[in-house]
Amino acid sequence: MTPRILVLEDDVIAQNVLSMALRSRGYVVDVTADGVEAVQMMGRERYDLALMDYQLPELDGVSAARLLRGAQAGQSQDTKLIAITASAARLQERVERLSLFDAIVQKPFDVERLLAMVAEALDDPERRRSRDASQAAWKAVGLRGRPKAVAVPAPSREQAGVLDLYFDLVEGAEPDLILLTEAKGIASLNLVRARSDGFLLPIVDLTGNLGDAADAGFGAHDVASWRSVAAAVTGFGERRRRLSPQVLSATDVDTRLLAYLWVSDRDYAPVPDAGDPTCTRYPGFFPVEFLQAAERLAHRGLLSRRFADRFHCCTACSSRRLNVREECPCCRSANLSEVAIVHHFRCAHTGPETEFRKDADLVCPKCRQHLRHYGSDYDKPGHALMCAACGARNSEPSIGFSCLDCGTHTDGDAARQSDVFAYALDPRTVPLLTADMPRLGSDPVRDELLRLAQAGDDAWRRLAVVRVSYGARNRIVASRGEPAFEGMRALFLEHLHNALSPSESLARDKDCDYVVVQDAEFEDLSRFLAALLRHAGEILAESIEPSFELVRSPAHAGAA
Amino acid sequence: MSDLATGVSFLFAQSEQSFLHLFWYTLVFELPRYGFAFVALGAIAIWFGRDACRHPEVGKRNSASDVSVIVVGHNEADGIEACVRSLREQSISDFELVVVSDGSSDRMVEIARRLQAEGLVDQVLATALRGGKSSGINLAIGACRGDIVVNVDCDCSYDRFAIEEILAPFRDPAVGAVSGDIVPRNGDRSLVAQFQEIEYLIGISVGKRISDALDQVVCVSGAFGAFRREALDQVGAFDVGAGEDLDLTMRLRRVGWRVVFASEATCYTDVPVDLWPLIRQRLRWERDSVRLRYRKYRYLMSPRSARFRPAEAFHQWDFLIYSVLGAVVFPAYVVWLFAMYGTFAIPILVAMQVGLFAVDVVTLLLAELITGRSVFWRNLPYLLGHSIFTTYVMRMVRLWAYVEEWMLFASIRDNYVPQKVRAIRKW
Repeated sequence: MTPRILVLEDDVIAQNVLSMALRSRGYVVDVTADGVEAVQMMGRERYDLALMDYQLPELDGVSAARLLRGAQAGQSQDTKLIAITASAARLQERVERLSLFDAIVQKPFDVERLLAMVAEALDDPERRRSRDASQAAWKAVGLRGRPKAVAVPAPSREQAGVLDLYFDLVEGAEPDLILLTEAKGIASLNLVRARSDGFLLPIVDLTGNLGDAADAGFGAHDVASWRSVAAAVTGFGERRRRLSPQVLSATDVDTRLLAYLWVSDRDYAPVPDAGDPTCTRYPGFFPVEFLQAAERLAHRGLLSRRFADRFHCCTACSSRRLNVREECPCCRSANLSEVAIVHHFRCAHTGPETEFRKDADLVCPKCRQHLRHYGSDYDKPGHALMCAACGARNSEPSIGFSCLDCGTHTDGDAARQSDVFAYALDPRTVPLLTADMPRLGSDPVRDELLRLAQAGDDAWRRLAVVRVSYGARNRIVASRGEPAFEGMRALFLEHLHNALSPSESLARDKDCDYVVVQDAEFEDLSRFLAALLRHAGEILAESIEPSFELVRSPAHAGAA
Repeated sequence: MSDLATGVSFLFAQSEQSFLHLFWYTLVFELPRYGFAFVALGAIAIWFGRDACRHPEVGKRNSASDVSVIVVGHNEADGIEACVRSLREQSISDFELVVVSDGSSDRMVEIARRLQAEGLVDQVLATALRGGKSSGINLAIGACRGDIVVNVDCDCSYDRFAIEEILAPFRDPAVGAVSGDIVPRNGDRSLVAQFQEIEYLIGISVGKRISDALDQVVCVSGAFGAFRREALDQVGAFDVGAGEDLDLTMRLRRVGWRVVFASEATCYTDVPVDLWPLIRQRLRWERDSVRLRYRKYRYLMSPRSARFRPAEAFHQWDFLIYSVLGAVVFPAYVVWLFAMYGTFAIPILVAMQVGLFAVDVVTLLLAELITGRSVFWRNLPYLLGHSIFTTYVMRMVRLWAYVEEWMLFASIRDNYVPQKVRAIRKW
C-alpha cells in the first residue's frame, strides 16, 4: 500500500522539486497551490501525509493547518502534517502551533533530509513489526516472503491497511495470487484477469463463504490456511512455468480452461452455492462460457466428464432455487395436515381421527360408542391429508415446486431436470499443454495434432511438424490471379498427399500447409522432405517454389 | 314332444275345478304376481303419458357442481380407469369424483392417482387394511362435499345421460334416494348370462317401475344409486354387513324418505357367465335378504310394534309369501304331483310351463313397449329356457339360501365383511 502525500505549496519550483523527490521514492503525490482546494482534496482522498508551506499568501499557516485537520476529522487514521517554513524559530514560539504539526522543516530544505523526515513520519513501527512477523510466517510455511496480491474488489484504505499486514498489495507488478474480499468481487474478477496469465493465479477466499470454489481460503488466525495459501501459490507458480508459451498466451476459452485445470491441479467440479440461481459454482469463478467450453472439451475427449448432480429447474426462468413442497392434489395449497383414519368396526363408520377425538378419548360420531380396544373395537387402516384451503381429503399429496426467483409454480412431474457434471483433465491432454507446440494457428492442424496425441504418448514424442510455404505465391497471384495459384497449389498438395505414407499426414491452412510426420529420425528428415517436395512439384508446369521449415522436430519434444 | 302334445291337450281338457286342483301352486304363487303385473303395466303406460306432460323440463339440471360421485373398491385395478372415464363422458360431468381403495393390494391406487393427475378424479383415499364395502363407502361419504352422493361400482359403465337422469328426482325434496336401472352388458356370453338379461329386464327394468309406482322400491342397488347427503347423515350412512344397499334403503324408508326408481338412468354391468359363480352370488343375495328382513328389521312386519308402517309391512309380507314360502312349497308341490299322478306329473308340469310361457311372452312384449328397448325378438328364443331355469334351478338355489341362513346363520361365515369386523359385530 503506497503512501499518498499531499503537497501544498504555491512556489512552482518547490512543487516540482518536492513532487519529483517524493515520487522517486515510490510515493503517490498530489500537488496543489490553493489552501481551499487542499482542504477539499483532504476530504475526498485519504492522505498519509501533507507537506504544507507555512507561509501561504492567502491563508495563514495555522488556519490552514486547522482546516486540514478538520477536513480529515472522522477518518480513522490521522494524516501527518509537516510544515515547511522560512522561520522555524518563529513557528516554534507559538506553542499551540507546535501541536498542530508532526514535524517542521526549515527553508531552504535539504531534499535528502526532507525525505528522511517524511519516511520517519510515515513510519509506523507497529505496522512494520506486523509486516516483519507475517514475512517470517510466510517463510515458515514455504514461501520466499510475503506473497504479492491483488485484491478484488478494489479495497478501501482501511481494508488495504489490514490486508497489507499479511500480503504485499501490488497494483502494477505481477501478483502471486488474487484475494477475493467480498462475494460481489466475483463480477470484476474478469477485468483483473484481462492480463494474459491473470487466469492462472490462485484465488484466495477471504469471505469464508466461497468454500471449495476458491483455490484456497485465508484466515489470519487459521494456521492451516496459511499453509494452504502457500501451497497454492507454490503449486500454481511451478506448474505455470511448465506450460508451453503458446498455451500461456492463448486467448481462447477452451485453452484457458485447460491451462487453468492443469495449473490448479484440480477438477472442474461444481460446488453447491445457494446464492446463485444455478445453485452451483465452479472453481476459478469463470463466466458461463467456460462451462460451455468444458462441455466442448469433454466432447472432444480432452476432458473426462462424470455425473455430479441432477437439479430440477423452474420451467419459466430456469432457476434451480425451488421450494419443494407437498401440496393438495385438488387445489395445490401446501396447507396440509396428516390425520389417521379410524374404522369403527361395530357401526362401519370410517373417517379422520379428528372426528372421533375427544381429548384423550375416541368417541364414534355415528353411534356414540367409546373406542377403547385397538384392534378389537377399531383400527387405523390408513391416513388422510386434509387440505385446510379447499377441504379435500387425499391419502397421498402431490409434489409441487415453487420458484424462489420468479414465483412460478410447477407440478412435480412437469418440472424440468438438468444435470450438472464434473470435468477432469484427461491425462493424454497434459502433454499438449506442457509440450512446446508450434504456433500453428488453424484448427485443422491443431486437431490433427490432437488426434495424433490421443493415439498415445509415444507417437507424440516422435512427431515432426513441417510448414510448407510457397515463395512464388505473390508473383503468380499478381500475374495470373489467385484462382490460378490455388489450382496449382491444390494439384501440388494432391501429388504430395499421394506420396505420403500412412505415418505422415497433411493439413491445410490459409497461406501455408503443414506436413506432420511420425516416427521421424532427425538426420534423414531434411533430405526426405526436400525429395518429397521435389517429387510433388514435378507435376506442375511451373514451380510454385515450395520451401519447408521444421516447425517442431522430434528431438525437441517437450517433457511430460 | 308327445309329452307336450299330451300336456297341451290335457290342459284344455280340464274343467274349472280340476284346473284349480292341479295347478294350485301356479295359481297361488305365480299368477297373482303376473296378473298384478299386467294391470300395473297397463296403468303405467297410461301414467307415463300423463306424467310426461305434467313435468316437461321444469327444474332440469345443467350442472352437477353440488353432486359427489363415489367409487369404492377393493383390488379394482382392472376396472377403475374405464369406470372413471365413462363417468367423465356424462352429459353433465362437473361433479366431484372421490375414489376410495379399501385395502387394495394391486395397482388400483396407482391408477387412481394417475387419473387424479389428469384431472379426472378429485380425491383419492386409500387404506392399507381392508375394512369391508360399508366402511369404504362411509369413508368416501365423509370426504364428499356435495349435497347429493352417487354411489357407483367399479366394474360398471354408464349411459351418457345416467347421472343426469338419476339426479332428476331430487327436485322433490321428499326424495331421499334414487335407484338406477341395471342392465347386463354381457348377456350374449353364455346361456346363463342371457337368462340373467331377461331376469334383470323383468325384475328391475320393469319390476322396479311397478314398485316405484306403488312406492315399493325397497333396494337402491349398490351398483348405481344416489342419496341425499342429509338423508345419509340422518340414518348414519352404511351399516356393517353384506346387503348393505338393501339395509340402507330400508332404514331410509323407515324414517320417512321417499325412495324412487329412475328408469332412464342406465348402468351396464357384467353378470356372472358361469353357473357356479351365479349360484354363489344369489346365495349371498338371498341370505342377506332373509337376514335383513326377518332378523334385523322383523319389527316392520308386526302391527303391534311401535315402528310399524303399513307400506313396509306390505313388502315384507310380500317377499315372505311369494319368494320364501313359494320356494319352500314348490318341492312339496312337485313331490305331491308325482305322488298323485305318477309319471303323468311330467306332462302336467310341461303344461304349466306352456301356460306360463304364454304369460311370459305378453310380459316380454309389454317390457319392450314400456322400456323402449328392442328386447322382444332378441330374448324370445330364450324365454322358455329362462322360465324353466328360474323355476327348477334358481328357485332351489333360493330355497337353499333361506335354509342355510335361517338354520345355519351362514352369513356369519361370509368373508364379504372382514373377519375383524365379524368378530365384534355379531348377528
